[in-house]
Amino acid sequence: MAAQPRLGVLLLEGKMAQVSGCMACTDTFPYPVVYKVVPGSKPPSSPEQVEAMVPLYVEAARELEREGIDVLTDNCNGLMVLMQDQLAAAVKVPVVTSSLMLVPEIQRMMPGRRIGLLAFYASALNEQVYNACGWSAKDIPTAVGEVGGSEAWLEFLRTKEIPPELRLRLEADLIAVGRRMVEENPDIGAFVSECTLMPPVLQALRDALRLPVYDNLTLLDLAVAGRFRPAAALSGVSC
Amino acid sequence: MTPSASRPPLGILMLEGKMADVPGCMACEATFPYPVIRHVVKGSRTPMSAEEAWAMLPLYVDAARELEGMGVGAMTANCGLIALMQKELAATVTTPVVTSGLLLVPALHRMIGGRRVGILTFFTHAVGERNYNASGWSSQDIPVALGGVGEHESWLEFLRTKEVPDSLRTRLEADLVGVARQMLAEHPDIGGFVSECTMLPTCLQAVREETGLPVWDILTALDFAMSGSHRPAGVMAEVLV
Repeated sequence: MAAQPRLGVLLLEGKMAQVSGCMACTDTFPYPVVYKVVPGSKPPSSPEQVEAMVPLYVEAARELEREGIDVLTDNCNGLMVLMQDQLAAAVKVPVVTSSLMLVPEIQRMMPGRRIGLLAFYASALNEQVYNACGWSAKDIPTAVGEVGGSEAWLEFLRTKEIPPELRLRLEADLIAVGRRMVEENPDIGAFVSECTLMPPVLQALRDALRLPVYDNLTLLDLAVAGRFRPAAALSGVSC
Repeated sequence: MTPSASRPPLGILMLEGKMADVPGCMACEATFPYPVIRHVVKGSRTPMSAEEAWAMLPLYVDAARELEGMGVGAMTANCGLIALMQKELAATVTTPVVTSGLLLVPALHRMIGGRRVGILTFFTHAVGERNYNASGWSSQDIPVALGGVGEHESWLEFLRTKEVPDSLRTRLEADLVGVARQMLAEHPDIGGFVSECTMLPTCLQAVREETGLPVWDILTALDFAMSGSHRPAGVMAEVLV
């Protein structure tokens, strides 16, 4: 059997959450991960800042490609998708910069249903970001929810740590956001989380609301499966 | 937390008749890492053309409603040509419906930097713009190349017998890899492949390894659809559950 594919993750400079579900934590992925900090990077707060970092990311992406990765991503969604096309054209491996790229496909699985978009700050979501992901809110019905008003989530953003008591509050506040969205939009058929800080607690949202929730992890799993998906999924069965 | 115990199964609409019970095929238990419910579509038979598939729409609509009543988390079918009915089936039920890997092509095309998408199928005459449109996109917007295994004796034998003895597997893999190589020779700008046919996944890992390119199919699309209801934050959590 061939070696498992490797995911390459371009990391912003600075402390990143070492929590299962977060991009900087190797426990998050069922396949090997190679990290590379992008020198001179910082969380972008405007399209101009993203554009300014493109050369840094292209260079770092090519270095990771030379090291033999199979899929490339970065540890901050949001505005980074504005460099999707430039980054993907610069390397030969598949590139994933936002979970929102799969929104049209998810919507085609459930036509007529609304897609609930989850972000840290709703202000991070706009038509420019959707267009970079290949779709428009004019064609796909969406609803947007954010956790940025929650003390618990602001604490996680600040500390990048999840002690057990904070986990309970993060889950409760996220579920409350999801519930409110479904109350206001009963036609929501699935959620897509845009924020890389959410996956540590998204299973709680799935279990509480009984709706599918897609995120950067489910999209990365799909991208990586392009390089490795044995015919027999069950372990111990030869293929 | 209430983990995988509550995990809804995948529902598969099955054609009548003998189906390949081979890992990678839809009728085989070993193919999926999650629970599966299979539901035979009464009166159906393996379609050899788009027209034959489309004629079965009323049968599939009825069967989809029955399968929905069994409480599945997502729904698919065991033949890629049923994707011609993607919109109609998805509109019939509230369960997410994924009839083909073709459904994911626009996002995959973006992931591979806008490069050409190689479409792998059984009979090339059964696949074209009509199938792409049913999956929500057009080859006028997304450059594709189409290749099929339908002229190879090995694949026709698999289609006839629905069995893969070891000696046949070697020939199936070699012929499928040959098709992919031929497509790459004619279109060096192919950045990834998408399989339309549900018989190919049993041999697709060979294409991944021989071409070095990503290959997506109905299995990777279904794994994705099902991960919407179950994707633990950590690998260790999965082991401990």
